[in-house]
Amino acid sequence: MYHSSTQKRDWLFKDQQSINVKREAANRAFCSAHEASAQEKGVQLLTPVEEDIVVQYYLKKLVEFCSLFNPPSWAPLPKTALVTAVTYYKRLYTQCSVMEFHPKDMFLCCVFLAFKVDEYNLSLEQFVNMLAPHLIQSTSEYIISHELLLLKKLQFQLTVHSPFRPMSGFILDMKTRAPQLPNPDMFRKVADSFLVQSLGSDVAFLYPPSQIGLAALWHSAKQTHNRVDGYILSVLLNSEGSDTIDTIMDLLQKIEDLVFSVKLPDGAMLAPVEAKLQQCSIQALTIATTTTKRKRQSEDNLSVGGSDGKKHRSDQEPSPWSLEID
Amino acid sequence: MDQLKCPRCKTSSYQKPNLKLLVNVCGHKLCGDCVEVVFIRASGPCPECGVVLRKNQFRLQQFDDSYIEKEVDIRKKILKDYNKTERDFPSLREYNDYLEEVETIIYNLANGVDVDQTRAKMDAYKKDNQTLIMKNRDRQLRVEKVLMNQIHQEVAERDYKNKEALEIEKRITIQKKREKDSIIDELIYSDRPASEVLASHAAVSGNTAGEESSETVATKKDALLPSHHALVGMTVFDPLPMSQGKVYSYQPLLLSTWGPGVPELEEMESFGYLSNMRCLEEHHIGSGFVPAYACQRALQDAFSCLLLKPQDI
Repeated sequence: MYHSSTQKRDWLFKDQQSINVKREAANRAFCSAHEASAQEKGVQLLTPVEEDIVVQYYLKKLVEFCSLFNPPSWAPLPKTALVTAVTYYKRLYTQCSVMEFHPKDMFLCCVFLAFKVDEYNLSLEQFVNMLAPHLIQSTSEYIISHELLLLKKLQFQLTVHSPFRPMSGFILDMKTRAPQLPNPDMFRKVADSFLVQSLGSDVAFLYPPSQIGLAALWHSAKQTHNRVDGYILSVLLNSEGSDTIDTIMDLLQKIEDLVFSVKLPDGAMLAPVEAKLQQCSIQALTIATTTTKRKRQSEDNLSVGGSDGKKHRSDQEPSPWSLEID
Repeated sequence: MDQLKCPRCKTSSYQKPNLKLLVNVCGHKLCGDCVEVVFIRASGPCPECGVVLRKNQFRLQQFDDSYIEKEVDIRKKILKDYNKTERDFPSLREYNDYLEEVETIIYNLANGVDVDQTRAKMDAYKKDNQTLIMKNRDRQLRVEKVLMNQIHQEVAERDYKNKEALEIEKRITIQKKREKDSIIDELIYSDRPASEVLASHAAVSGNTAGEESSETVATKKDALLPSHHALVGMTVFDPLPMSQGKVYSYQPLLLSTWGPGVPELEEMESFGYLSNMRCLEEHHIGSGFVPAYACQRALQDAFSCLLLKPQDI
């Protein structure tokens, strides 16, 4: 259960500042370790702000990847697997710098591990066959060599409590204890997309999943011009003191604001940072020449499904949040 | 299991079921008949390795592996001379060094490595430590004697107890028989009605049974105490003090969920949750899955940490 989980114990922070401090510390650690070789080669290391851009950009790519992931004759991707993958990804990059592990490859490793943990089990072969053909070999090698490392960085804390089940729980509770309110099932769809959008922000590190789930429901109700405040106040929090109720309502508002305040970077913002990253990544700093490394193109490589017909996705950059999620 | 075969006459234990292979100091085995033949004179060469052996050195094999048998034999011989104990050495390090040396010697002799050198070392050692060896041997003999005494004592006591128990059994059976006979005699010869006869006999047998049980208890108690002379020469320890400590009392585990309480499984139905759950298919029900489980899980997840405030983190 969440209240006795490692997620609450180790991965719930008091405020945004604590998380930022951690990220900066990771960046500093890398910088101090590689200051000398960076100066030798005359390259500049990334700042925390730039790292953030890279992390957020590839986070978006992760979500897109999962939404398009549909292996033939296999069950559809459960949303909890997506949440798990994003959680691993974010936890990793609060402890490591992007210069150490490029997110471009690492996010696939996170996704693969998350699928295994969430019992959406695919063999490595099946997994890499969903990628573009020229990536299959390098990705499978990368995953094999980095999976244990990822596990170690995550401290083997693999269970992730996502907000989807709490949200279902609230809908169920509403149907049972407040039947006079309109049928909550209509809120499900918008709430789901709210929860997927919340992955871009740090809400999961700041609020327990039950509060996020409730916020999703609350927001969704507002969108459809209904109010579930009645349910929340009179039924759910019936036995609590008024200051608790105020705090909780305040929390819900904060969650909503936080989720919508995050803007994910697009390709244009990424390009200069990516170029800088090429030079200061750990491979570039530790190897004299890079003739054996493939040239990395950030956009084109991620066409899922293999055929070039999907090029339009990377050109247009539609909002990933408008994807149909069932 | 494979049949044993004598390496000289090739008799197998299938041909001769009571075939016994005796082993000698070089580690090679011979059957009983071959021993007689080869060692008509008291000593002769081993048929396999040619080492000169004596007839009286043959023993029944104790271990399955002949290498081990040989090694154990060598070890016993060597330890007769190298019998120092820890207290003979000023430090643990030196004792360990000594033990290592002993092992090296045993290994050398068992594997035929540097045999002459090793024997020379052994002789030198024996000469140097003659007195210490004798002293240790005496000490060992004394200890063994005390232990043997104790063992004899225990065996004697056990026998005594067994005999006592048998005696008692016999007495009881004789008693019973006498009882039965006397009942029958009375019934036949006396004029009293049958029920009276039986009642009086029942009273009598009750008393005698009480006497017998107290007797047996008395004899058992005596046999348990160790007799005095076994304790001479041995230090007797007091029983160790038993620390009582606090008696364990169950404290239920209190787990805070920072959220409203979840109804129990049994209450799910009465609260009306189940009517809002999806209908289960056959294969769910068949495996024992009940909608109340899913319901409770959803509610538990929904309510867990719902009221957790930022200052509590």
